[in-house]
Amino acid sequence: MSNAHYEPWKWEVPKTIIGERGHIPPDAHTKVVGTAEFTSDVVRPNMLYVKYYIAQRGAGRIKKLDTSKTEQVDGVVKVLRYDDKSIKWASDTLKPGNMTTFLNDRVYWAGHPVGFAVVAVSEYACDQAIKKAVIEWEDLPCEVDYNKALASKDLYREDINPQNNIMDKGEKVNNAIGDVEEGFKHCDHIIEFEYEIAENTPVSAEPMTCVCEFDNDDNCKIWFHGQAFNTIEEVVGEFVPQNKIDMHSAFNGGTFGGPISHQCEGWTAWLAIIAAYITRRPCKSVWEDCQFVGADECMGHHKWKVGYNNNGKIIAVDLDTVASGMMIGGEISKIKASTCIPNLRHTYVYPLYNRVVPGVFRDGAVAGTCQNMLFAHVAAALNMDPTEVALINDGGDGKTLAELEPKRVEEGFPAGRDSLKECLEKGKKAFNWSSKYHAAGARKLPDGRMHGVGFTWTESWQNWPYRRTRCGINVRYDGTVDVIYRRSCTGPLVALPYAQVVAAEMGMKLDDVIYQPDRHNVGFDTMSEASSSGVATNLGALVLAARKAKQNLLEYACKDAVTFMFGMEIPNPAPFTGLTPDKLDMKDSVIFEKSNPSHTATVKQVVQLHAGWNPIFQHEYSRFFTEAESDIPNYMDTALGRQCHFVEVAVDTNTGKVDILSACLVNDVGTAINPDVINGQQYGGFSMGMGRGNAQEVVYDPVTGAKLNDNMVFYPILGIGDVGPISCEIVETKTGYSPYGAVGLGECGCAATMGLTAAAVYNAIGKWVDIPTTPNNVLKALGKA
Amino acid sequence: MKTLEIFEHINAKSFEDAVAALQKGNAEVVAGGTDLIGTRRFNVLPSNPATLINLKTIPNADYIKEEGGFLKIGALAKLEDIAENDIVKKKYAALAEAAHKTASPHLREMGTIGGNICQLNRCWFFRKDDNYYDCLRKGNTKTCFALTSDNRYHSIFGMEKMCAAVNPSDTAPALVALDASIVTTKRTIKAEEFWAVAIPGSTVLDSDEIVKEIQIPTPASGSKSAFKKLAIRESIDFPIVNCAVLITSSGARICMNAVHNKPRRATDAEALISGKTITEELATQAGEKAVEKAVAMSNNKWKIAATAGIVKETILAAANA
Repeated sequence: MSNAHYEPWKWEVPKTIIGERGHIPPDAHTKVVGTAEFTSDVVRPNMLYVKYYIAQRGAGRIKKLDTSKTEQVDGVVKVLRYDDKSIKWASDTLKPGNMTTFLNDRVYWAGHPVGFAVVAVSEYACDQAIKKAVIEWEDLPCEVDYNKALASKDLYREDINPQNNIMDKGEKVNNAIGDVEEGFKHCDHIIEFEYEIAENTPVSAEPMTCVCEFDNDDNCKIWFHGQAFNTIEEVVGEFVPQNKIDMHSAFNGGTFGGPISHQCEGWTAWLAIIAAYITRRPCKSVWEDCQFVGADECMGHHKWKVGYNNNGKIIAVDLDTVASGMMIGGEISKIKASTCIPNLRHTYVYPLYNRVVPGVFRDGAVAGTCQNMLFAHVAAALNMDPTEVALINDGGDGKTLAELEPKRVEEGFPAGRDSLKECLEKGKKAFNWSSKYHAAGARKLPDGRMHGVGFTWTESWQNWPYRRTRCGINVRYDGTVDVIYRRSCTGPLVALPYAQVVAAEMGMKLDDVIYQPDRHNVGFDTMSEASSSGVATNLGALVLAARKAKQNLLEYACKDAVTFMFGMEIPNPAPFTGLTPDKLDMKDSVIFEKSNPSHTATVKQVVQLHAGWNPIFQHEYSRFFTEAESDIPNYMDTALGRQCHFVEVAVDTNTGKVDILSACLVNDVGTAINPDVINGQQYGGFSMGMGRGNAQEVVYDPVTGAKLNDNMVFYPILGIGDVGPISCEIVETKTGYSPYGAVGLGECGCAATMGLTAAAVYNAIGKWVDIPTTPNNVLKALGKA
Repeated sequence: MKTLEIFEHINAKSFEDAVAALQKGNAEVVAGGTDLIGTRRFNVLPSNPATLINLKTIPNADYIKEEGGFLKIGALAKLEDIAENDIVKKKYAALAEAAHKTASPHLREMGTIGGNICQLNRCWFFRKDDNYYDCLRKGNTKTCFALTSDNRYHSIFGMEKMCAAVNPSDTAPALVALDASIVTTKRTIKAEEFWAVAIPGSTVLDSDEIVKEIQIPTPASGSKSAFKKLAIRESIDFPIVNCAVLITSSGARICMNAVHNKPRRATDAEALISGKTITEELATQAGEKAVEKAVAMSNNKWKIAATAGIVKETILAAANA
């Protein structure tokens, strides 16, 4: 239930610390010098290793599994076989990622963990043992082409659908608006176009891993790599009571969205849990170098019919997709959320074939790309500046900005702010758009390559405050503060901005506040703090807890203390005795009287006054622990904040190579908590987006269903050195539904930019290219292949 | 992370030492290890020799010097040292650029010129971990899996011994274009004749033969050379196709790589441009000439166009150097 009284965007932004640059993250030193502990660094005494057998083939059934030699390998402790009835498996419903076929005898995709896993004293022993297994396979029909799968009578995922190769099909009703057919009757032009997006896959810097141990009293410790803490607790809860679980999270590196969180990390943790429970020794589950176990959301064929007017106003959009997986929100969700297009329809087919069915997706790359392609095509058809086409269609839920304005003002947002317009003004200037934009195919560089620019825009990933979250704040005996929260480090740097918020709200020195990196045993049900929209989801709890903590301190600062010692009462007057908390304030960890700022006391003095004269005997500083829960605002389902991005490319028409010359990224973050961290997300997100858009494609062997490039050599992840200079711009319109009007930035830079190079390549050569814009696709578009 | 099989490790004190150890059998040499260690770790081959003979402990085998009308490069010279050597950059620009374009800075600081020219072929069937595709280059089947699967990066000049894999070396075409010779512990081999389709190797080396030195004749005054590479990534990648070109007053040498099992000279294109003023039109014609005999597999017609393009661009780069 939402709360009409919970309107955190109206909260006043503290005047210090928030928005400041130059603060050093508390984990910076250990990360830079390489001593930061990642999950794969965790080693426990007497620890075992556990590793899955991973199927390379895309389909098949184990007819016979001989692990006799596996069991004899030196160091092997246990072979976990799918057919071992003595093993206590978690119930199917708790097998992560809806994997009822998980660790079974049937292979459904290349990379599927099936058959068995090995528990051994070393990873080396696991590897040696896995090699010794002898598997007799029953070959089954295998298909990695969705078109062929849809036309085939063979069944490729009979576990999901025993009738045909369709997981789901229909119309995305929740994203439909208006009457599309009627819309096509009332527009100046109609265009139709289609393109293909290749499958790409999440790959993280650190291989998936998890450590689990049970002691003799069934207390369980887990070092978890990922986001889905609650799911993992539920799995362990099948073995021990949940209040015996102690979850830890070391650094994870940059996992990113999609199946990482709900399949691979779940499978990884599950294996460590099972192995540890059986062997009663600490167990670390380990994968290979990177996570090529899941497909991403982007794979698919997109067929569009679009009606629009001469001025660029889009009237009707009909999108038909055949795509892999289950997209939360769907392909046109961003278009619906951020435009005034009055008629939208999306029909879809989710095929079943021998590629992994993604469990769940969150990063929105396909939706961002759809918006990019829609607007790029319309602008190109009209030979209009695409930024102008964007402005004329800006809005939400089919309504124009003007139509949305009264509701925005009524909700308490600043009047007259136009996020897209402000983003465009800043971005166009920084990118020098006016001199770089040109008609398609109109500019050749001195070296003979064709010059092109791409532009995209969409909503900010802002509206995620739909989960209550909770955090605690502990003021220590020495007056320092730690923020207690569940952490899952998936990459974004949040320790610093979260500490900034608490310090600013309380009036503490930033150095006195630590966002505790590895405390999970707090029982708080939270969303992972370092993910898609951590700010939007978690900031409310942080601010409320900080305010409670401050109020608590001010009250104690006015309250006289009495210390009991050896039966005696020793009175200790408060530094502000006789005053009330409203007469006080805090700054730089010092409490002061507002009307007499020279009248001060440190936080440390107040805490120690009430915690007792000797902490060895009296630990009453727990009275300085406060906690708070965020609420759920009553908010519109339309986005107000915007992001827009520009890229400049050179296309070599001889070789098909697309080089990214420069880029400008503009994000309206509502309110910038830490601009340095925002820039970091922009840089990283963009290089990931360019990787998806300009390089990455998972390639399968159509015969065996095996993945041919499931390694870092053949699968080209782009780095920052591949994307040219980037200009990062920040806009702050305070139009988010989170505290201070902030919005999350975690993944949107990557998700929004995947289609950018396709738009830019069109601008360069006047041809539309499938995604990614690799040399083979570019040369095909040029008719050279 | 996959773990390496345990192996015996011997530090050679000289090439003679290393050869003697090789002759005992069940052994292979390692220099920078940037290819070999990955090959072992991912179980690319059905089995690996039990002993690794470390060449890095051989003293004075990483020199780069001009001597007797040749540039002489010790087999253990690091790629980064070659890329940054002033003499190489000035007189043998194609090689300097090829070394510079190889892999990434870290790998160039480890990888050697000897290793770079001896690396195994780069084919995603051959390289698939756990020896999943037991292909003919491993000596166990007669099948090239590329024939019936995705072959977008495979040979465009047909198959040799029924293999469609390509040689991925960046320095190899530069050495061929510069008319280098490879000095081994047994003989001196013209670079052009150095590569072969072996099981599983990619050179004509005997099992007890080791590369000691590269010799490149000093180009005639006025000669120019260049190297170009097409790859997905700038920061690190093997070539989709690469090309090195040497233009002298009397002729030209053009060598492409990653287009066939072995580096391939474009002799028809050389003849077309030899002695002529290089224009864009002539370079375009030469690029087309270079792929005149190319034959597309099912997925790599685009690569023929890309090869023509890279040859054209390399010729122009050499002419304008």
